[in-house]
Amino acid sequence: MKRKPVFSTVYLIVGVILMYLPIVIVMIYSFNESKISSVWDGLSLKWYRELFRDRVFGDALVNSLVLGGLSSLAAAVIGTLGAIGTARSSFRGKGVMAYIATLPMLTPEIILGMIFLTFFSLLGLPFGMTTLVLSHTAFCIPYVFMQVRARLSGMDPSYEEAARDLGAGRIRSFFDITLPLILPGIVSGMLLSFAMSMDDVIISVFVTGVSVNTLPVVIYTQLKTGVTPKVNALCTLMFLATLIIVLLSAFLGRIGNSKKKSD
Amino acid sequence: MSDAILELRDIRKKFKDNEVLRGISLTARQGEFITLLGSSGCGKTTTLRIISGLETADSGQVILEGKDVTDEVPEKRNVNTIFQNYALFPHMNVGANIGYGLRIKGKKKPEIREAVREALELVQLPGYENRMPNEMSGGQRQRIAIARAVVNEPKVLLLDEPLGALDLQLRRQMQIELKRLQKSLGITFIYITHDQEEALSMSDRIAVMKNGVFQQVGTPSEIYDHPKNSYVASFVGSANVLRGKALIKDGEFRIAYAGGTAPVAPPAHLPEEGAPIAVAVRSEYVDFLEAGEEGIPAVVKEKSFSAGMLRIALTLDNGDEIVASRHGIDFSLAPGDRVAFTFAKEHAVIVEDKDEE
Amino acid sequence: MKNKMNRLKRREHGANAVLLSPMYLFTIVFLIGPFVYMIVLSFLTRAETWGVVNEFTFRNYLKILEPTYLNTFWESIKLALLVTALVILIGYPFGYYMAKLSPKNRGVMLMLVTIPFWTSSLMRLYGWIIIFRANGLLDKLLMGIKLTGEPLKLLYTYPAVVVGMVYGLLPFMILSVYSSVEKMDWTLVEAARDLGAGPVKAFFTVTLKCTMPGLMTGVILTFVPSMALFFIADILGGNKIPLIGNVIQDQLMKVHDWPFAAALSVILMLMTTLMIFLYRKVTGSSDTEGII
Repeated sequence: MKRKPVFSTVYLIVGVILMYLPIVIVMIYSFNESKISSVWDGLSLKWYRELFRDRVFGDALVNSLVLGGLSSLAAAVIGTLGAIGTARSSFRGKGVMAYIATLPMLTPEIILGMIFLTFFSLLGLPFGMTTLVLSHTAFCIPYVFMQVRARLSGMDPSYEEAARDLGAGRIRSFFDITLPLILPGIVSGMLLSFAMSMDDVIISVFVTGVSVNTLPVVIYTQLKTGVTPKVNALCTLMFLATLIIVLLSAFLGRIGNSKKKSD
Repeated sequence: MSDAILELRDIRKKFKDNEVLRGISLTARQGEFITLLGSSGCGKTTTLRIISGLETADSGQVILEGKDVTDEVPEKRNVNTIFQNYALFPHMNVGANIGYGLRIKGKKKPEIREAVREALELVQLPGYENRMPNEMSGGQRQRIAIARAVVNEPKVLLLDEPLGALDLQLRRQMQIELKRLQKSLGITFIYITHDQEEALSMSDRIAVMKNGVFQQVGTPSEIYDHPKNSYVASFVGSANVLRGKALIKDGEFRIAYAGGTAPVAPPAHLPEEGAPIAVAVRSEYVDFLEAGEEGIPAVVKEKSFSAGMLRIALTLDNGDEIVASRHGIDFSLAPGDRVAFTFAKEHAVIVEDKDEE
Repeated sequence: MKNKMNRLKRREHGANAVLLSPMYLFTIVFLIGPFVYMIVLSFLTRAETWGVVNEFTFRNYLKILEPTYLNTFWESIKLALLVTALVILIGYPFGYYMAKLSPKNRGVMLMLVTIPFWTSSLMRLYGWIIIFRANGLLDKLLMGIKLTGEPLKLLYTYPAVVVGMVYGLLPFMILSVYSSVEKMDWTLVEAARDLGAGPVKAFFTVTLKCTMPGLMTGVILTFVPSMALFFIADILGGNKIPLIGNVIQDQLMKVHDWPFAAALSVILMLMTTLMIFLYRKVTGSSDTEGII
């Protein structure tokens, strides 16, 4: 009686192929000997070699890694504490604050870029790594906050009560029980933040200084002015790095879920 | 009382505008098994949480081993709880779970290992140290939860419907085992359940709770045979409550009810004739009469069979319903039959009428 | 005794305040502060050469009413609506079919959809440049199968921008539709069928209603950014299609008329907030949590 879902299967497969098409094309062309993407001159690792020799890309990569690391770490600390505090307290205005804290997710990035640019220049902050980290932290906090809050709300309060009952103080029971149980949420929020920071163009374009360039900003400039196939090589490497992060976070998520089942 | 280990004095608690506990007082002796019996929302879990310190009372005192611990934080109280869902730490193996309390106390590793081993033997799961909680069945987790609590040698063990999640057969088995454990350890158990059978079979004393008040505190036989009020009578053993008028006939104390009369055990202070009284009679004591004998008339409404008992529902002339029960699978009455019933006066006790609440 | 209890409670409140303070401080200083400044800025006067003069004015808002800028807003909304409609048409069936797969295949698909979502958006755009470029892959393919005689030169055209945006925003829609279809109680559909509704009618009366929150989340996550994704219009549109995002960027970085950029941003922000308000109305959710 049940029809075979031929149409839906084809739809999904075609969708996935289209989704990966641009990525695969960039990856293929990264091995193209020719400088022009419309010509195929044979396989070569030439652009990877050139990429590693290029100081601009190297510096930008280091900047992006530092920026992603610092802002995701700061967001993890601030967002986690905030989520725990929000879950535990019950005062008026708590909901409003939680909404405001997640506002960056609901605001067009261009506006975030604009307000950070104008506000930082009002404060007289020098544009560079400081402004980048501040603005990236601001838009990363919601990701950690939401992840941790979801985990906390799924967590049975009796775990912590059981720890208190067995003689652990507030702080001890937090470190022994609550923290390990929300850790997967913190880590996946952090990974998400890191990826968002590594990928951000719009906000970075506004708040970066002359001296500091992030990887996406460099790529963006090149795409606007003229591309060398080094960008293909770079994108391929970035894609592989992303792939590893995604697989890692999926793995962590699975651990978290199997733990949740035992509730 | 010199061996009183836990005392609750007039505990009151409000959540927002909801008065959950309205003056609870209780004294528990060393090694006593006390059950708080009541339907959900009666305040029994709140009472337990106030004893453990997870909740603070608005007023009243909690005295543990002669010390006022009313405002003490939970970790400083020598009581342990078995949570309804066991609350085994999912990220720790069984050994770490059981040893957690001792680790907090700063006990040495070999000592903890030994204590964990002993505790696992006590609950008949030796060698389970390295299992994770989610690899175990409900019954096993229940035992681990017990081991995790008793390993700390608490003065009082609080159990919040610990068998609620288990199926009937496992429940029976765990009831016996819990009782055995309690006897051998000599720990005071404060046990919560809504299952009156469980309460009657396990407890030294039962506190029947309703609306944040103890309706009656007493031994199982006191509660069962001499319910203090109509709520206790109908909740424990689901007795029939007959609301009629006092009557003295031929020097015998009787109840006039639904167009008939039946004998009642005379209380110490006889009510005046004609005064309203409530009488509790268990279904198994309802006797049917031959035609012409003096009793209360009724019509058989339906017969049903469950758990080895035949249940006969009767409709009275005033519209009330009474249940009679018999062992066995059949009885020579059919729906629609007109009958009359009575009961032996020792099985009919006067109770306070509480049902208006 | 009461005092002691209060002290316990107060200590707990104190601990919570310590936990909350970093987030609240950061949020107030680096989020509320900038937002408030944006609003203030939008009422200030632009200095003759560079910077801002503290002189109250409505001129910035009046300037938005000039045909050029009104037209830009209109174009942006039109593009955003088109993109959103396409994203719904393509993304809803995708998320729906995905949720109906077997659990194992579902996991694989979920992975496949999230990976591009996490991939650098610039890389994905770049792939489209290679495809759309004059004499690029698409042109060669189409000329190869004789569908067209000469290169289409799709790069730097409106369709290219639309494709780039749809492509970039599609994962949001797929994932939010997927998560609400997955949660659906299918017995409701069976009940509808049982009560005589055909498959199409059952879909529109039951399934669509039940998955509305997911659909609306997807719409917000598509519509809000597509008003302002200036870099897609930049790269694939060659700056020929003026969107509100591009105007704001130009005002900030090239023209240096910050108050006007602020006024444009305030209007954009109001439109976004309105969307979210409508979202809450439609889904009945008091929380924005559904949004991720």
